Amino acid sequence: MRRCVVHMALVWTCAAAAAHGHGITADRVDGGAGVRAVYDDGTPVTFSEARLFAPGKEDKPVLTGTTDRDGCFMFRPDTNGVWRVTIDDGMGHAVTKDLQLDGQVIAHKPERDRMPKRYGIVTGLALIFGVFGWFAFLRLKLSGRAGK
Amino acid sequence: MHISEGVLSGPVLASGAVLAAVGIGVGLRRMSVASTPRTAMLSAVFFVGSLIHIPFGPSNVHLILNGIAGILLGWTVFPALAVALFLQALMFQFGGLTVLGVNTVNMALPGVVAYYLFRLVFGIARRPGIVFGLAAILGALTVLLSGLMLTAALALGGRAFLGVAVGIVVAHVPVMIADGLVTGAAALFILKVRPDLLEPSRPEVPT
Repeated sequence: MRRCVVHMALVWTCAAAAAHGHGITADRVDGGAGVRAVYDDGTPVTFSEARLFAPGKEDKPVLTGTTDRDGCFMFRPDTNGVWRVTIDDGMGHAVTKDLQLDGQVIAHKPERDRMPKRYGIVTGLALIFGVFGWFAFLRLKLSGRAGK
Repeated sequence: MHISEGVLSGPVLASGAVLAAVGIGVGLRRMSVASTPRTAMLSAVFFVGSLIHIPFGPSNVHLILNGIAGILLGWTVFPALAVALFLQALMFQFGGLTVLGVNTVNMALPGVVAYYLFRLVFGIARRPGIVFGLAAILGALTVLLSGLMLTAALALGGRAFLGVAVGIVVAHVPVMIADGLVTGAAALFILKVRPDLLEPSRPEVPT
């Protein structure tokens, strides 16, 4: 009986010692990548759905989550290639950004230059009046021909 | 209120494009040479008004002003807003070219509804206070209708209608108020300086 109790105690102790694997720890990991989504007036797209697609696997996201309060969505890529991030605020606004990773370093593609907003407004207004002006001109011309 | 590229499915985009084409066709047929400057002016107002943003909660909303455009233009609001939306997509990446049809229908169709409702009531009562209140309500109503149509388009793409609808309507409450006040003030001003523009007896677009 005594031997049995000692044996059980030894087994218990060994099992308890081996059970430390159920614990959980966390360490800092460097080398992440991410995107920041903002509206055109600079306001961050906060707490919106974000999906991450690995290189060559555009059919199913490998990670889903939400942007943070600054509109950022971060991830840690484990392979090189083009990683695609889509962010959707659920109200019809969505953006997709491709990140080219080469040796864990994001190779920034040159962004297409956007026209400054004030130039865009002036150009847009000129085009609007131009388009409708041409329409009126064509209408007049056509009605003039019909009248002859 | 602009739906971005890649959000909607192909059939929804195609349906929107067809409906927008029909609306633009009807609008162009009714747009005379005399009414072209007014159409261009309201297209420009919509183009610039959409750039005025109001941060609201997790999203971001902007003035729409499709109510006043609809009240003054009727069906011609379709080509007016289509041109403005096309240029916004081209220059500011608002919405997109593939969703141009859906966005045009979402913005312009409530404007047409506002036009007929305004004509209906204005024919009966035209005191300044009533005109202001009516235009303000219709300005807010067009934003609400646009929001519901946006929700319906998103729901057709597989999203839960109710959840999205509540989010969009709540997010656009400030826009409804702002659009309503601007529309009411504009209608009041027009009543004083050019009341003939609001006359229900006038042809939809004078020739």
